[in-house]
Amino acid sequence: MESSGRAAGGPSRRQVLGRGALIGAATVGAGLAPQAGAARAATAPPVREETLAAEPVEISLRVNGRERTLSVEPRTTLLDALRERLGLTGTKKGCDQGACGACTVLVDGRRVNSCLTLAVMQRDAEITTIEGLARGDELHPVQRAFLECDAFQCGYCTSGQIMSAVALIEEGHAGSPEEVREWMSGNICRCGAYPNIVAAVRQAAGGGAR
Amino acid sequence: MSVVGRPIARVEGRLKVTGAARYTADLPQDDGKDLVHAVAVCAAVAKGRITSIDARQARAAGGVLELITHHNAPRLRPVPAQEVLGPAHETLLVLQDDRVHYSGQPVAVVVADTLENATHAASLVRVEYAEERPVATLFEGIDDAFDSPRYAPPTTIGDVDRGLADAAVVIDRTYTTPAQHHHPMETMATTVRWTADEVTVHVSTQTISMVRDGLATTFGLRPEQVRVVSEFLGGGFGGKAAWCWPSVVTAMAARLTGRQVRLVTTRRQMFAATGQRPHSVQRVRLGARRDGVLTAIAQDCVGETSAFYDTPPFYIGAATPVPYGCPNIRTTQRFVKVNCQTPVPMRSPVEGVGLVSVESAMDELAAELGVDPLELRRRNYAERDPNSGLPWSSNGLLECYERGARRFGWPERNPEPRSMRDGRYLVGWGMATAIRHAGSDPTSALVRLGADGRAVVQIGSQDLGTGTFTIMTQVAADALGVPVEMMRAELGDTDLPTGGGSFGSHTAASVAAAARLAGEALRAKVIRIAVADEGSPLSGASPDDVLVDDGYLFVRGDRSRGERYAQILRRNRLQSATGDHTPPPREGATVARWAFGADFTEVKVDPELGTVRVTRHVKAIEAGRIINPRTARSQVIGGVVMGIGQALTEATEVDRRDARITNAGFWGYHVPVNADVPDIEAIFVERDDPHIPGSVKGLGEIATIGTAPAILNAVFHATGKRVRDLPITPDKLL
Ligand code: FES
Ligand code: FES
Repeated sequence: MESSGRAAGGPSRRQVLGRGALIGAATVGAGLAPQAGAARAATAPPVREETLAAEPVEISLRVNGRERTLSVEPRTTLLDALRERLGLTGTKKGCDQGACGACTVLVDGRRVNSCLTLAVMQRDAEITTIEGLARGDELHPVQRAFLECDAFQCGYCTSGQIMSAVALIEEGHAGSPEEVREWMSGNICRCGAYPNIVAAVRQAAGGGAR
Repeated sequence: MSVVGRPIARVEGRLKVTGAARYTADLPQDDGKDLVHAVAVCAAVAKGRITSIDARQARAAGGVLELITHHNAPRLRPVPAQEVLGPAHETLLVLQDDRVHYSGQPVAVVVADTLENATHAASLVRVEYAEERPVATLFEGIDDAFDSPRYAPPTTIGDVDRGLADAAVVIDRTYTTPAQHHHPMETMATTVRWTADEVTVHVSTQTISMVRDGLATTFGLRPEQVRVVSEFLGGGFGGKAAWCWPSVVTAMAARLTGRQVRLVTTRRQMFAATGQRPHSVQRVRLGARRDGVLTAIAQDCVGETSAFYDTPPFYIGAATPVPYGCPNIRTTQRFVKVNCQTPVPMRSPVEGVGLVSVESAMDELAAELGVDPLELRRRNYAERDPNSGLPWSSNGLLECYERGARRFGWPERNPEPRSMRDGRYLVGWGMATAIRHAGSDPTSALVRLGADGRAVVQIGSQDLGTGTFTIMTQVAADALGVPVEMMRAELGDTDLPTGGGSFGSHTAASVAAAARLAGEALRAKVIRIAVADEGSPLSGASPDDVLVDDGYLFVRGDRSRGERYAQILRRNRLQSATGDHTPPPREGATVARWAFGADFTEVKVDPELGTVRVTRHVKAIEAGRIINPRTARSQVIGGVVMGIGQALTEATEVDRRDARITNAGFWGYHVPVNADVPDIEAIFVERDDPHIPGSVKGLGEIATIGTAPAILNAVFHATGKRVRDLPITPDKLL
């Protein structure tokens, strides 16, 4: 159930942290372990708060074919930048830990957990979110297949499932139901729509519903 | 043509596949400028007192607007238990004193201009505790288990001791089920704006009216001052059904800052924000004659409850007397106070937990007697409800057995454990019975019709994702007599007519009944207007003779004499009517209303690794009439998937020294993923039920009940090894 970006091989949040230790400390402290931060004071790691306050920077991102200028802090994840700064709330936060796939977007065509990458890292990339799939009123074939196969209930994981499915078909991993199951396993659906998701991916890939 | 019973696509589906559906954390869109973010700091110990909170660093951090602790939090009033589901009274008096009762309890809340700043500042809050030794698990406190005659009185039918003494065979086994968490994909989110006149709350909740009443009581407001909105929910499974702290602290933050405040609990916090399915130990004794007919059923359960709250959550044995006709039945339950959050319902808190042991014990009895497990259940079919002694309102259980078994190929089963193989894998087939009480809640609906012929149906209910939007639309369209495309559904707002909670498998029955009444009332009203309207071709007709089809009203026997709703409405004002559903009273009932089901499952077990895979599953359900077979099928599939998790992967682990949850994330708490889930087939055995409005019994919970025990039984059949401790992780098979 790890990241849906297993095919990605792109830079991870951790690698970036290695390059920018100061920002890294802030991100780890802030993003991953709020609870641990409140732990017994004696055992809590020392925090160098002086180094943490990173100034917001102006960046531009190419999202869904449009150049968008926004101000983010270096520690802002791509997910939060999309949702909180650009108002693209179709991409969802399910765990903020890279473990559920709800935040999946395409970065240069590869599926990436947007909670695991920082916005500042994606300045040169082409980002596609769920809002960028349909052409006007015409749904993308994967969106249509999800509708037709009832491949969701609550819909909260659906943006991530659809983005994953779009990339997976492109990757050539929709050859059989078994293959789809395996390659869609980075996207959790707590409503349990999996059999219908498999059917939808197969249908969109032109492999028949089953 | 009637649209009820047809598999139409979800009416809100397009919004969901395009990312346009707005869930709580996606709001507001318009005036986001005013919005600020709150992050909770949660207790790192499970029991003790807060001795100091050093908030200097946090307050000095960038963007921080407010920091709330028990020193400066608004004072709250206790909410009585009858107003809310789950923890009530003093348990949700959060941030009121220095006591810590469970790890993850909120001890401070930071409000800042951005999410990053709030999260960072929260990490700078230093809390020190005078720690006390917690009760970490049920087993640790089991010597102090107590009864609760008020909430979980023992059930006694006949004479169990006698029934056991008379039995030719007695099965006496103890099973344990772990604490589990709901984990809807949408974590608990709340946005509150608090002005002098009104408190507006956007919240992920299964019961908007409960949040309104709870917040009003605890903050000393009138319910009319609080508006609660929850349009799209990212799942709930019971975890958003109960009264819980995130909404309370968000409201505090909004009141103190005067800003619109959003708090989204982290996935980790979800392990201590919305309660859990309680850890339980269940001893079952079954007595039977040689032919398998039961002479006694005894079930003694012990369940965890929180350390600071006496009201036990659920009597998990409450439905144990129902599935089998047996003259002697006794169930008891005791409780253990554990330093955990107060348990809450999780997709069938009674049957989904308490029948795991009974259905496994039935399988053990079948093996002991050499009787086929399905045949054993048939022989013990209950002609009436053994618990109440009342006749069933309707009962399709035998047909569920038959159709499920046929579809699955059950007769092919070799009864011998370890006898079936697929290459190196051991193959096992198992089955179980499912039952679930069918009920509904008082619900009001309003249907409005405009001059364009379009109509809207409004109910202050919620759609967890199960299809409430869609079935409301279908039922109201049919009742009014308009095409389904002309009907729109609105829900999730306390400004709408009051609906009940979306839990207990009550929603479909409640919402459908109210929508039908409102639609029919409006149809009758417009017909009355038309027959009295000289400008209408229907003028002078008897209202009883006016029929409606696809929005066209005409006189019986003369289709040409009529006109469309839109034409009538153009000459008249906008029309609306309400419908109020009142559930049949439980007291003095003359029938027992239940839904029924049967699960059949196949597992393949790797004998070297102990890994279990479910490879196919058939579930037959009798839940009365199905309003939408498409959404219903998805709901059943989803229930089976959750049952797979319950049986094989899901357990909330607690460390015994500190009583902290050790697997607080999807990385450690394993819910099923796509590759874990096989083809699942749902069969609906439909029944008309004259005692239930619309014959709708509800599906949410019966969808998952029965799945876990069927898997347990299949694993025994595959391996010859009986695991009585959920979940069946590989270590238990090696
Ligand atoms: S993987 Fe990014 S939110 Fe879960
Ligand atoms: S549709 Fe609800 S989580 Fe997937």
